[in-house]
Amino acid sequence: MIWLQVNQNQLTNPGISTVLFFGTLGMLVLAIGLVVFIVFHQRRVIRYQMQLQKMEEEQQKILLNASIRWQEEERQRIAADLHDDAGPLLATARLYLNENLLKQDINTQLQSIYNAKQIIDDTIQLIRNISHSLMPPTLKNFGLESAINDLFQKISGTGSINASCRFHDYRQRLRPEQELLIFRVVQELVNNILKHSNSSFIHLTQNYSEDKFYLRIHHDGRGITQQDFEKMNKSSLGLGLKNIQSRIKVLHGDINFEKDLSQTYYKVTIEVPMEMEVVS
Amino acid sequence: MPIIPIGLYFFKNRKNTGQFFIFLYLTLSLAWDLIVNPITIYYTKTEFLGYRIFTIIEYSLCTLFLYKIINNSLFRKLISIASIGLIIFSFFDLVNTNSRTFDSTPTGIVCILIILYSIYYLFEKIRTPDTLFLYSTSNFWIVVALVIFFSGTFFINIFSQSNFTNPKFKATFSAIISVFNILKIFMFSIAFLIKPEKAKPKKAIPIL
Repeated sequence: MIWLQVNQNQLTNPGISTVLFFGTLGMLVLAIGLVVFIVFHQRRVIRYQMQLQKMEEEQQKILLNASIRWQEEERQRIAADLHDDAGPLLATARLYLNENLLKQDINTQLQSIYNAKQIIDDTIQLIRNISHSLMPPTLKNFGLESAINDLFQKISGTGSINASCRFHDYRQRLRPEQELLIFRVVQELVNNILKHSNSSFIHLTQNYSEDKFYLRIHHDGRGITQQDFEKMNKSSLGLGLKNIQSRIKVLHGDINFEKDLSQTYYKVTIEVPMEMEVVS
Repeated sequence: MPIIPIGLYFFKNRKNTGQFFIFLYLTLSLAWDLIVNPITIYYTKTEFLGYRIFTIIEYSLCTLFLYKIINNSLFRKLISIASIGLIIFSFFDLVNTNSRTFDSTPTGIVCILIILYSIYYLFEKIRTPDTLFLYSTSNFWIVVALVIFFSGTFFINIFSQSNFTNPKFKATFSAIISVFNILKIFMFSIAFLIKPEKAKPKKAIPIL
């Protein structure tokens, strides 16, 4: 500070006044400049954040729309099943059991009752099938491993494709809601593979690592990469993929579509943080 | 003039905002100009003792306010260390000069420190933009007032030690100090018109 101490005689020197004037002015300009810079910078940051938020909101909107559309389609399918299958069956049963039945001879009566019973059994089976498609009983009673095994066996049983799965470590079940969501994702992925990939096999593997649950599906047909997946998620196409994305989001997990290093297989990896089932 | 922001302080609930220190600063500066300085001059025949004591009070109150609004615990520790250092230095400067001169060196350091703390606060705010617009917060206006006041009066304070007895210089000193005081009070008034945001001293931003 000594260098700044000016003696009294120097005050008359115009240089000191100039230093004082420009020093004060300079400091003031610097201070105001700094404040203006900070205000503008913060506005720019906020604008950028708002843009990001808007993009995220749009993405959420697309996912929500996809989810609503999926729900509507599912309802329509159930409504169609009930209306086209269960409705006519029950109407036929009613015809067999109308009031004229009492005027018939005993043999005709017994035949009509038998036919009506058959139709009611068919209807029960039909409603059971609808119920199972909504919530697979194997999944509810025996867990994800059994449900996926069951699904793959059914696919393999058709003879059109070789489907296999292997759970390496699934001693501790995930929470039922998580299992259902994962099962739906697998169902959708397998459905897509069957519909679009023209592959000769599907293989699913499961494992745990660092508190994360992993599922990987391999197939040798035509597949998509992560880039395609993200692109389709942003477009109006790919309702199933959007459902997968929204389910993965609910699970706080991650999904990755990639082509194998050998460029022969496509693989899909699902990664979900572990939340064990609470045993009461 | 300071009566305006002092009055405005009571308009909104400012509990736990740290702005009480600014209110105290304004009240004390008013009391100093009206009561303490004349008494000191009467008894000590010099105005410098009053100035020196007020420099410490001014620094302490502004620093307490900034300490309360800065979140980074490491920087808060640095503020504490710098403040202890400055108080010790000011005391030695007071003893050495026997209060016969203007305290240019402590005042210069005070200006630099307050400007540094203010810049850090603003930097912290742009790093963690939790408020939609920075200028819509009362703390921002107080900090801007402090930055402009201390940067504007920095040079005049530095030059004062050797020139304060010169009437021409004293007139310039009074003019510059008054202009920046008015600016400061105006900005404090704006700050006290805005609803204050609560201080969050517990949450620390990551170490830089």
